[in-house]
Amino acid sequence: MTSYPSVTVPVAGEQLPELAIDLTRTFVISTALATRDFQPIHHDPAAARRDGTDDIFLNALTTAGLIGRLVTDWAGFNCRLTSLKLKLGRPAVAGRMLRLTGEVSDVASADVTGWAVTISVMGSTEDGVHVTAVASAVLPGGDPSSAPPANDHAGTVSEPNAGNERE
Amino acid sequence: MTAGSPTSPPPDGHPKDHDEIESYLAGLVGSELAAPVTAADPVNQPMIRHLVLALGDRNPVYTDVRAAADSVYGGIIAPPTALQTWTMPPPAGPAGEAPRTGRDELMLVLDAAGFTGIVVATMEQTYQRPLHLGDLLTSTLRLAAVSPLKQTALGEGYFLTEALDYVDQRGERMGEIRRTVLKYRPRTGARG
Repeated sequence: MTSYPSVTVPVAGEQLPELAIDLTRTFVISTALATRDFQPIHHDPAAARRDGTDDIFLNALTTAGLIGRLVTDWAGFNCRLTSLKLKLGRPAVAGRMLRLTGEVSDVASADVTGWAVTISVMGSTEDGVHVTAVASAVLPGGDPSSAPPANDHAGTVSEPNAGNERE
Repeated sequence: MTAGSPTSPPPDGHPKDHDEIESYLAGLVGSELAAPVTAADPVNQPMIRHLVLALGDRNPVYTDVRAAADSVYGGIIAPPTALQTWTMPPPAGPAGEAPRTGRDELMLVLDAAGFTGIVVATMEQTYQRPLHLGDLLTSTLRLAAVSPLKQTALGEGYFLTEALDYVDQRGERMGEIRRTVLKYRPRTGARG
């Protein structure tokens, strides 16, 4: 496994690395089925055209999944997503390029479990804005002496950068 | 309306005109659109692996046992954004098959009235805790709100707001989704 990126101290205004996705039909179909969305508009071009789009397009759970990926690709694997609010615009149609960008819009004051971070996300294709979103996440930080029990289902975080060394 | 046992008009008596449809929709607001659905399988590594490969997500907490054990999670988790995936319905049956849930019937009624298109307009997901291997999700689905007929870029249609709530095998709340879908009459010549 290659090293997985992480940050230590999130700063408001910081830009997340862009995530660019080539929306091949293979990508649209494989993600729709992997999220168990069997609606024909996500795998059958004729069905999509009947409903007024040029081709099949991403299902909403895939858009959400890609935003989750955008956030943890930047924040590292100890980042815990707590909520995600999406507003969808133009469908992300096969054949286009989807570009997702994010910016840290707020960092709440640290406590012993980490930082509560708010990230504003935008995703666009050649057709215009596909999605705007707000993601809320808890990032590792604060007091490293307060390590949680090994099987902590509450998902509290500590041990800054615990995920950084892994290859 | 009783969960999972639709009592609305039979296919031949579908509401067709604007007033009939609005009154039909208004009658469903607040009701359960399906009986609670328990996932066929618990949260499991093969489905997670399939999903993250499709998404291109290489976050090691989803597939790397050692990395996940050393993480704040203490073990493999599923991508939180896949909360809905575990209880998604199977593919639609053959055309003309009886609707399986109240939601299927609602969609059938709107399809029959020409509102064949469907897109998600907004979605809010909240996660109470991470999904670990072995968690067995049960979801409930309620129709929370319905808009009047709206003109949109895709065509005229109704915005339906659905509330999905998820609990695990112990009844512990896992998360919720508030989703608004547009069920629309495709505009001739519309482009995506």
